[in-house]
Amino acid sequence: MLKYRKEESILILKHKLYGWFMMLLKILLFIGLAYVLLRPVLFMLSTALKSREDLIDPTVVWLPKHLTLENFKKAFYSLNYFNAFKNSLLVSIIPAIFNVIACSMIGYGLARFKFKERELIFALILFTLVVPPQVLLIPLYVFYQRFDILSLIKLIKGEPLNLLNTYYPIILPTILGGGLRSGLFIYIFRQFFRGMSKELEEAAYVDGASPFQTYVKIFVPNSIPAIITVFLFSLVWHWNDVFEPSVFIGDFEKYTLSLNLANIRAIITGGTQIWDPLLILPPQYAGAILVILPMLIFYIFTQRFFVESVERTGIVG
Amino acid sequence: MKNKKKLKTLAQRQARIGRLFVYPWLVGFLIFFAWPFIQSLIFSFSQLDVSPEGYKLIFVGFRNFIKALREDPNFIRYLFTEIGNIFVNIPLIIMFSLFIAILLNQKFKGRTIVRAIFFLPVVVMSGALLYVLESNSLEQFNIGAQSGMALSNSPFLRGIDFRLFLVRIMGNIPFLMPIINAIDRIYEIIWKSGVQILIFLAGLQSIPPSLYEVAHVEGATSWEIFWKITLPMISPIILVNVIYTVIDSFTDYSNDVLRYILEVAFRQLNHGYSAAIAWLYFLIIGVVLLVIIWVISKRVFYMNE
Repeated sequence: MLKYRKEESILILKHKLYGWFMMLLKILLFIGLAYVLLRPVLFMLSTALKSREDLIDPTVVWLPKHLTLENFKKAFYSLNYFNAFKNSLLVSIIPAIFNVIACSMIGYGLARFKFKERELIFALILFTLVVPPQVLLIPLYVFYQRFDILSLIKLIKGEPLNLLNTYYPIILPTILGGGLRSGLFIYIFRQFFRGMSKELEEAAYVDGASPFQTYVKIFVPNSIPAIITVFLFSLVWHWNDVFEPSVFIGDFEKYTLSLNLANIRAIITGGTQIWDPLLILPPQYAGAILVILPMLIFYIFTQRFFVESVERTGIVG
Repeated sequence: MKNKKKLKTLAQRQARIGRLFVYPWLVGFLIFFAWPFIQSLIFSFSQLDVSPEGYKLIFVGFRNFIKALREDPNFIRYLFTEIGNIFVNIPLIIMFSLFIAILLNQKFKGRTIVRAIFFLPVVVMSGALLYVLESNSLEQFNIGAQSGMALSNSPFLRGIDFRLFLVRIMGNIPFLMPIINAIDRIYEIIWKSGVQILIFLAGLQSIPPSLYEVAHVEGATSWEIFWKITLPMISPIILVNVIYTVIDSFTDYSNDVLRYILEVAFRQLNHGYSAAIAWLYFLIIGVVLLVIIWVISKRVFYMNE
């Protein structure tokens, strides 16, 4: 073992103590913040599991004495769970897939080819992010009510289609790279493709690949992190979105989970204004948990990609 | 014909291929964005009657706008609450998320778990959920005050007790208001900064490590390194985050103005007026954003320039 002089060993000790102190501070901070972040979920869970006696009992704070699944059952029926789950899945997975395909192609076009109006189009893409969807709300509502493009549908079917009460208003724009926050997805892909090296691309061209082949064979396999990021964000945002479904879908059978959650109190109380919070809140919390649960499970399995891929996509660059 | 195509320069061919990839977006943009955008401008100057057969427009000039600004008791109030909120929230969210991002960027045991917890809001957070929780917790506060029951415990931590404590020792309420507001918002701030933390983390990763190495060799302290390297290098990302935060909170479901726009359109069925306030709202966001960008971008440091 090395021998230190007295002053040296004091210095080393000081340094170590400082390190421990900082680590302790950090741990305390993280525990505190984690508590704040996890608290609502835990609180909702604990309240939802409480029976009526436990709710009135002031000695019960976190751990219920009489566990009950009554609230979950109630929420399950109020949310119309299986049906709404299926609907939610429809309006989140399909747009997410289209978002990945369309936005990556657009991002590729913007990142790898030069043409005069490129910057203008990119500026327009960013502009779509700034405009709140509410501005477009009524025209879009009217538009989907009598859906027609260049009178083509009128020519074939004799009258315009009514797309309200279907999921097409949510899905259709994503096919062409529009829809919920898709400007951001195009931006992510553009940044990612811009950061990729030119050598591979040139090698592919030398070997006689067309630009489309190059895109499919070189760029797509190399942009897995970006694809995962965009897919996850798109899926989660569509799952949680209330605004679009609440405008375009009026039929209760077609409601999504998040839409049902937003209305759950009215569903439970049957629309009456006077209600007992002890009766309403626990099932409401149970409902909230049931709605976030699928995404939560999904997140637990994919969080590694979520965090790491965002770093590697270089959103910022 | 074939010869002509081959005679095109490389740049021209490149441009054509690029357009092939990008123009589908333009088509979608024109159908699903530009056209409704212009239409809503027209609507805002009109009275609109929607019927199953379509809609009728009656031009009314600036009447809708005048109504919003001078007659409607709700719109201006909601608008100013939201704008006030933004200006308090932005600095808090930016400071908090930068701080957390710097901490999460370091290497320590259990980093994956900590990160997973911090990005939980990104996944779980939905306007509907937050709205359900927040509206409840307010009511619960009243109920709790009345009955002192177990439910006074709301899912959101609020600085209620701490507020009373501060008022008692300081006594000076106007001076304390900003601090109290900030404390009351801590919850909201933490829950709203998930994406910002992600963006900052990505930004921190892109700072060249050589800068830090040089600083260490020169004997700079962590404090100096933060102010002289991290902050200038991250400043473009601060701008990105500020813009994101503004857009995010202006388009959030729990936003009062937006809910009011929806209510006017679908409960009161006053579509023209709803379009008008949506446009006013959009213009005001635009001005706020431009002012913020103008103020911040002067102070942003770009290494490559």
